[in-house]
Amino acid sequence: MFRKKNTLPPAATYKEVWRNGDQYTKLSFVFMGLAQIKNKQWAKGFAYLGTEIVFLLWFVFSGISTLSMLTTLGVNKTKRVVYNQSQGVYITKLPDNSVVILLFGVLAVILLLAMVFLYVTSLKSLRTLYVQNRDGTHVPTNKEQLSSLLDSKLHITLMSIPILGVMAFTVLPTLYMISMAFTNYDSKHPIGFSWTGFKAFGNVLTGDLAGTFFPVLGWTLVWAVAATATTFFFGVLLALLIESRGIKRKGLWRTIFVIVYAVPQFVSLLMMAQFLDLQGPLNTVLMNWGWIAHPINFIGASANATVARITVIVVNMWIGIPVSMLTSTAIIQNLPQDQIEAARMDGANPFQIFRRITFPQILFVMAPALIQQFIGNINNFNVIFLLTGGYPMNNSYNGAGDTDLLVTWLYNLVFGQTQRYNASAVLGILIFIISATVSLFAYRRTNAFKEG
Amino acid sequence: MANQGYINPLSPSASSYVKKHNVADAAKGVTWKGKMYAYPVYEQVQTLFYNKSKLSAEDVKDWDTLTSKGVVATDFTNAYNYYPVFFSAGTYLYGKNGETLNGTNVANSKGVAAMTWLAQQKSNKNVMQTSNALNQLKSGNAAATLDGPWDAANIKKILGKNYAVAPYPTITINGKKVQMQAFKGIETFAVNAHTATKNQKAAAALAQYITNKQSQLTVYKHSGQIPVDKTAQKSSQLKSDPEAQAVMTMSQTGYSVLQPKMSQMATFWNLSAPLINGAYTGSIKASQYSTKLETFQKAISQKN
Repeated sequence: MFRKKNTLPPAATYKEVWRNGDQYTKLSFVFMGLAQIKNKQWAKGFAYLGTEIVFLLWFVFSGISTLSMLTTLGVNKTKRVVYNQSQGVYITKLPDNSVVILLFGVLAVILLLAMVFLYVTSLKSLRTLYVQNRDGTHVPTNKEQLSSLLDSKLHITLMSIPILGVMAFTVLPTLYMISMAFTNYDSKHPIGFSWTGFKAFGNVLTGDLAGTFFPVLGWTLVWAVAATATTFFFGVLLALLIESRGIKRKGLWRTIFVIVYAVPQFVSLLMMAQFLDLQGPLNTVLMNWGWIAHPINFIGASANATVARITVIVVNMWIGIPVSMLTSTAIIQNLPQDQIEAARMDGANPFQIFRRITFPQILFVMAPALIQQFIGNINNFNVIFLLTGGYPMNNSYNGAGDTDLLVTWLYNLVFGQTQRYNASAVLGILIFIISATVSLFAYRRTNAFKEG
Repeated sequence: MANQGYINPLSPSASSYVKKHNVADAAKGVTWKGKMYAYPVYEQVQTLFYNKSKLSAEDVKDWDTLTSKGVVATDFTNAYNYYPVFFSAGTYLYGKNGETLNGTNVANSKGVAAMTWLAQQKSNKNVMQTSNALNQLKSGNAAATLDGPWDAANIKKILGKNYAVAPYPTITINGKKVQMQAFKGIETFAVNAHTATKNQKAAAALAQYITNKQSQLTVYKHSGQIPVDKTAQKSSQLKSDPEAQAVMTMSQTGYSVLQPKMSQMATFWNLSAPLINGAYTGSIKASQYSTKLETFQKAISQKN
C-alpha cells in the first residue's frame, strides 16, 4: 500500500536559493509573493502577499487572544447572582462560555497550521522560480499559470472547495469533539469548564464507568461478530437456494426478500419491538395455541440478558439477510461453472462442493465488504436503540442496559439523565481506536489485499 | 438549573406574592437554598385509576384486597412509580427537607423491607408488568393502574362511565400496613437568565400573570391540571371533581413526598430504575439487597 515514492534530490537546496537569489528572492522568505510579482506572475504573487497580510492582521488583532484563551478556556468559571435595584429583579452573571472559546481556539489552531502549509508551498514555488531563472528555462507567465489552473492543474481548482468543506464540516468538529474528552464538560460544568487532561479517560477505563465499559465492550464485539457472520452465512445459503436448479420464478423470490429490505429500518424495527412485546401479538398467539403458559419476555426491561441478546441477533438477521443475499447472488452467478461440473463428475456431493469451492470463492470476493460490515455493526445504533432501547436493565451498569453497544451507551450518557459530554467524547475516541485497529489488521490479512 | 445560573431568583415582592396565594407545598417546591426561583402553577401527584364496575371503593383502599379482586397494570421500570415505596418503608431521600446531600438512608432494614415488597409483586399474579397500561385498561385485561393527572382525560375516555379515581392504597411492608406514597411535582414557569436586563421585569410580570388564579382555573378547565392557588383549590369546580380531590388528598404529607431538587437527582434517576427493576424481577437476590442499597446510596450522595 505504501510503496516508497521515487524521489529525486531537489534541483536546488534552500540554502542555495538564499545565497544566490536576488534581493526579491531573499525578501520572499519573509514576505511571500514578492519574487513571483517580480517575475510578472501577478495572480500568484498577489494571492500569496494578500493572504499573508490578511493572516497577520487577523493574528495580531484576534488570533493571539483566542489562542491564549484556549489554554484556560475562560477565566471566569462561576456564576454570580446580583440584585438589580432599578428593575427590582435578580440578574445572573454567567461564567465565560467555554464551548465558544474552545471552538474558536481550535479554529485558530487550524488557521495557523493552514498558514504554515501555505508558507511551505510558497517556498517551494520560490525555489522552482529560482531554478527556472538559473537554468534559463521558460518562466510561466501569468496568463499561462491561470490557464493551467483549468488544464494541467485542474485538480487544484476542483479540490479547493471540497477541501475547505471537509476542513470546516469534518475536521473542525472532529478536533473539537476530541478536545472535549480532555475537559470536564458535563452537566455540572455546562458553561464554564476547564482542561483536566486524562481524567475523563481514567474515569472510563478505571473509574466509575469502568464496570460498565468493559462488559459493554465485550458484548459489542460479540454482537459485531455474530451479526456479521449470521447475516453473511445465511444470506449466502439463501442465495444458493434460490439459484439452484429446479427453483422456478427466481425473480419473484428475490423480490419478496428485497421488499423486506426496502421497508425503512426505522419502521421495521419499531414494529418488531411491538411484535415481541410482553403483551404483543407473538406472545398472545403462542399462548392461545397453548405452546407456552406465560408470555416470554423477549426484549423487555426485565428480560433475561441472554434471551434478549439472542433475539436482537435474530431480528438483525431478518433485516440483514436480503442485502447479503443480493450481493452473494451476483457473485454466484459469476462463478466459473467448470470447477463445479468437474467436482460433480468426480462424485462430490453438494455439501462438499459448497464447502470447498463455492464458499471460499465467495469469501475471497466479499472479505473487504465483510470487514466493512463488521466495523459498521460495532456502531450499529439503529438496531439496538429502536428494538430494545438498550433494555434489559442491568443494575451493575451505569447508564447502560444488557443489549447496549458502546455507541448507544454514548448516546445515553449525553441525552440521558446525566449529561456527561466528556465521558462520551472519550468513548468516541476509544471506539475509533478499536475500529481503526481492527480494520487495519484485518484488511492487511485478506487475500484480496495481498494479491492486489 | 438554579445552580448553573439558567434561571433567576424571584424578586422579594414576587416571592411574597407566591407565598401568599399558593398552598404551602407549592411555595416549598420552588424554593432552593432559601430563595424562590420560579412561579408555581400546577401540582402533580399520581393516583389510582380504576374500573368501578370491577372494583369497589372499599376494595381499592388496600393493595392486597385490590390485587385479589382485579389486575393492576403498571410499570416497574419507571422509578417515578415505585421509588416512593422506600418512603412508605420509612426512609428519606436527601433528608427530610430534600436538600441534604447525605440525608438518604436506604441502606438499612427499612430499605431491605421495601426491596422485599417489590420482589413479592413478581409472584403476585394480579400485578401485570407492562409498558402500555392504558392499552391493558382498554382491552379489559386490567382493572386498575397508577397514573397522573396528565392522563386523567385519556383514562376518562377509555373507561367512560366506569371511570373512578382514588388515592393510593395501603401496602403491607414487613407485616405492617403503611400508606403507599408517590412523588409530588410542582409545575412552574421560570424566567430565563439570558433575557436582556431591561426585559427581566417584563418577563417576571408575564410569568406572574400566566400563573395567577384565573389562568390556573382556565387551564384546569381545558386539560385537567390541578391548580396550586389556595382559593382555586377551594372552588366548587374542584370540589366536585374526583380526580382533583384525589390529587389534593395525595398532596398531603404522609401520602406523597416533594421531589428533591438536588442536581444529584440526575444520578438518582439513572441508578434507581435498575435497582427497583432488579428487585422486582429477582435479578438482585435477597442476599444482595444490602450491598446494592449501599452502593446506590453512596453513588447518589456524591458531591460534584
